[in-house]
Amino acid sequence: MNADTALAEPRAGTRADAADEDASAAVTDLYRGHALGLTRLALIMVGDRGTAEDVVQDAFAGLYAAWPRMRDRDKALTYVRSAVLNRSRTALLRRRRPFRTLHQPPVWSAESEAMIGEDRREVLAALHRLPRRQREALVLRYYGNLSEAETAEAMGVALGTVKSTTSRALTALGRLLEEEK
Amino acid sequence: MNRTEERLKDALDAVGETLRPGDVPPPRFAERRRTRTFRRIVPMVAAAAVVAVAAGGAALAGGVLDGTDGAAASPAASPSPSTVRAPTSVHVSVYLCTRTSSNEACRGRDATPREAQMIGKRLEAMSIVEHVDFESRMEAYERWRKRFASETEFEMSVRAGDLPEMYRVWVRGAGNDAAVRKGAVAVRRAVTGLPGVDQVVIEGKG
Repeated sequence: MNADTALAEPRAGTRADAADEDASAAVTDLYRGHALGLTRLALIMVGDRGTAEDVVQDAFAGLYAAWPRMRDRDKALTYVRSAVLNRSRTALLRRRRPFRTLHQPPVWSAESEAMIGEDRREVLAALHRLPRRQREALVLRYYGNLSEAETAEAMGVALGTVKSTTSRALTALGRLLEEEK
Repeated sequence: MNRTEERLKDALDAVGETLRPGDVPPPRFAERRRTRTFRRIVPMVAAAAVVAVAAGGAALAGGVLDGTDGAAASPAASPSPSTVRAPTSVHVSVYLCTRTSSNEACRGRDATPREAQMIGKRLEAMSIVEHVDFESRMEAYERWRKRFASETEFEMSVRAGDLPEMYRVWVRGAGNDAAVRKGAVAVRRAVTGLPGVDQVVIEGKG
């Protein structure tokens, strides 16, 4: 009652504005530095540019919204990385439902305008046949150049899991690529 | 690194490279507050140039039409082979939202098919409207490509998705310039600000 009104003092407005400014500037800086890399990561995960861009925008919108509640702001990058992975996952799952398939073919498919070559196309196709966790581990380690610890944080799994998942994924990928021949 | 690792890294890099730094759209998270530092310049130039091409063609042929012959039509600027109307006469171009549009109302998104449909219906329902043509992204891109066929580098920097979808609207009253002009203004007023509408331009001389 009284406490409520005391907390909702006129000053609260200006404080909220200042917090907005703070979040906006900080998240913008992060976006400037990492949007390209993260959009590329999302592109590898989901295949088309439009979806990848949406995934990244949503991830940053989430960070922006969570900013005032974030205690450890050094973890902001980890937060968006995880968000990008999660949202890419959701985007792929959503496509399995009927009538939701309004997206471009993957950039590595034969129908795409992007020319990446037959050899690479095989690799990407094989990568997308791997279980989801294996694919994520490989992409974070080999594309993102993340350490095993960073990969573990982004995926939300234990360090040991990253190690074993990565090595199993590499073996599986190698086998799939052999089969192609 | 073993062979599989090398191939993987190479393939991932190649896919990543298909996205270039200029492709990253401006951040949308704090849209209403501020920050419009990044912007994809090229597609905006492209869209502007399409407008310029259409307007330029119109102005050019308008000069011809200032004579007496009303039958001349510039084939280069013809929006689609199915239309018999001279694209040079006064008409209204309704450009739909693209992700790269600078218009706040577009919220950084393409006009949805439903929005496009609603805009088309609204236009066709107007009694002063005689005919409406829709130009898809691919058609706009084709037109763009033909126009800039010689300037490869410029052309290469534009993708089909960067150009806006649009409606071309002809109003009734051919021959009566004042009436056509008035109708065009009415059309512009009717669709400006509808969801999915980016810009509305009255083209041609009247």
